Amino acid sequence: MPSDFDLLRPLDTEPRLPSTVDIDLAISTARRKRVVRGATYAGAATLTAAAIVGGVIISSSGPSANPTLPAATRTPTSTAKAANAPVSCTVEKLAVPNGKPSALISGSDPAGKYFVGRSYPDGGGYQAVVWHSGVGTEVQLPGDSEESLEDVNSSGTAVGWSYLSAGAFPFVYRNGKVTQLPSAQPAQASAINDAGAIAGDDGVHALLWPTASTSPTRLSVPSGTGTAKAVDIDEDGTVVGTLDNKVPYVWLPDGTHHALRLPDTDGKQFEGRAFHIRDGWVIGVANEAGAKAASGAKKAQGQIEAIRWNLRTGEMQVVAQIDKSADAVNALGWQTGVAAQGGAQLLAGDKLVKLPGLAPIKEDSLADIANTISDDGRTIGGQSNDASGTIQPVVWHCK
Amino acid sequence: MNRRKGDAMRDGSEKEYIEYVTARIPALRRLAFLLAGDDHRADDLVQQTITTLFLKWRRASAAQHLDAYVRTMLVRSFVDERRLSWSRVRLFRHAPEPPPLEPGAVEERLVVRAALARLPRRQQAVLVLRFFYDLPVDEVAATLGCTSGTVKSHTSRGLAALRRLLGEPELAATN
Repeated sequence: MPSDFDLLRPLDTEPRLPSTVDIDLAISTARRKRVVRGATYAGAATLTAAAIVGGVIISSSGPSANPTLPAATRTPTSTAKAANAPVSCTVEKLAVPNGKPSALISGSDPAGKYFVGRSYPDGGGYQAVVWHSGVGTEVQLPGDSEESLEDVNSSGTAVGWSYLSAGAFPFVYRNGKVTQLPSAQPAQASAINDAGAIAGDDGVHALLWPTASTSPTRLSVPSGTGTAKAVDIDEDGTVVGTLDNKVPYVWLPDGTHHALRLPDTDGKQFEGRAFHIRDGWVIGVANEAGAKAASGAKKAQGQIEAIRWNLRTGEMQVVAQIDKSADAVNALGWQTGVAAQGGAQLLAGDKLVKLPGLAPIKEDSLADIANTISDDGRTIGGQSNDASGTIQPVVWHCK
Repeated sequence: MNRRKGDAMRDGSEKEYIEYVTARIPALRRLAFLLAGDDHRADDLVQQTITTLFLKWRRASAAQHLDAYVRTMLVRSFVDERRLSWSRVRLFRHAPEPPPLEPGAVEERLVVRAALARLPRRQQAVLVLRFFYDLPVDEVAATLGCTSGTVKSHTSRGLAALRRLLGEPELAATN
């Protein structure tokens, strides 16, 4: 029997490809971050309250539209409703149950009554948590390592995953009871709709559980697909996800399925990933497909665009106001993301509203992340670093 | 590049940074590769780490053990996917899960890699730091920002899970 040390010995220790690490790029990226942060602080003094109302930058992307054109020159044809957009939002820190030092919110129901996520116990690992009416409750999933709840529906039924000895397995939490979802192998449940249908994946296939007690079906994919992942499900059963980590994909309730449109400027190849769906609005990101040797960091240099698709019209929009992120979307097509200078923000129609964090943003541009948004856009859940840099679960109230 | 005379000091520390990073990139890539198991993700981790290092260079270069400081930055980026800035859009959050284990696979290194990738990320980091870098428990604890007791339990749980996944008989839990 191999010793503890021998057990891991067969692992490769040397990368096989030549290094793509770029010191000049590291320095220029770091400088840009520093400059942008400085500008933010200087600008903050002249702004009253938290409302930053941006110009209309959402652009329509017709077949010939150029997503790399300066945003301001594009014609705004956003169909997301801007009516009643909030003008300002305040942040509220939720209490973490049992005095755990840190936690975050990863999902909510469409009304913003329930929030789910995880806390970080002192001893390591993760602890699944549900918040209802501002009160957090720990949910005991089997396994005592890492676990999290990812989504919850209007009746408070939540889905998530927990590591058991053979890997991560999917679970559902309902009426105080935890049940493992049927799955032959390790899998993850990512989203649940009000009808109780659950979307997820087993690392290779996109999965759909019609109910929490039925075996999952593997969602169909084009031949040649390596891995498929389903990440969210709409009320009508439409599922979104990504193939091979580069093709944003949608599975419709009628059984048909297709890739979502990507920018197609100047014959350049784009890759994309779909993250969320709500009432026909899908959000995700796209980046120009670089040479194979280019690392993701290089590809990400100013080239990742936030994208919003409207499944009703087939329209695809490059969302210029949000920096490379697509964190949550609601039934109005409003979405949350990270601002170029760091910090969370809400894009409601053509209005950009700042989501203030618990503390000023320092080096970590992801100190605040708005992971959920209610259908009325008034209740937004997520995480914010407090003054000590500890991740805290927060709800933003907007009016 | 255009630099004013007053920036001489900054140039000096920038030169130090470049010299240090240039010398350390091979070692950082090895560590990142062991953790991430993939060339591209490894390079992304290193790129992210040295970018942050530039921002923090003044404080970091004063650290008593700079190598350990930088290693800690890299390991924590790997462990806490929610903080690795652009990984949110590109890397871990939506990266494909590890391929399913195939016990009959010929390449042992791939089998071990697939097994390791099935463990929670913290356990992976603990096993790599303890058994590849021979770091003592307290140093691993400092790197991960947890207690020695947690490192020990991650170690025994991680090893037990690995043995199970690799079809090895399990040792009695050693703490």
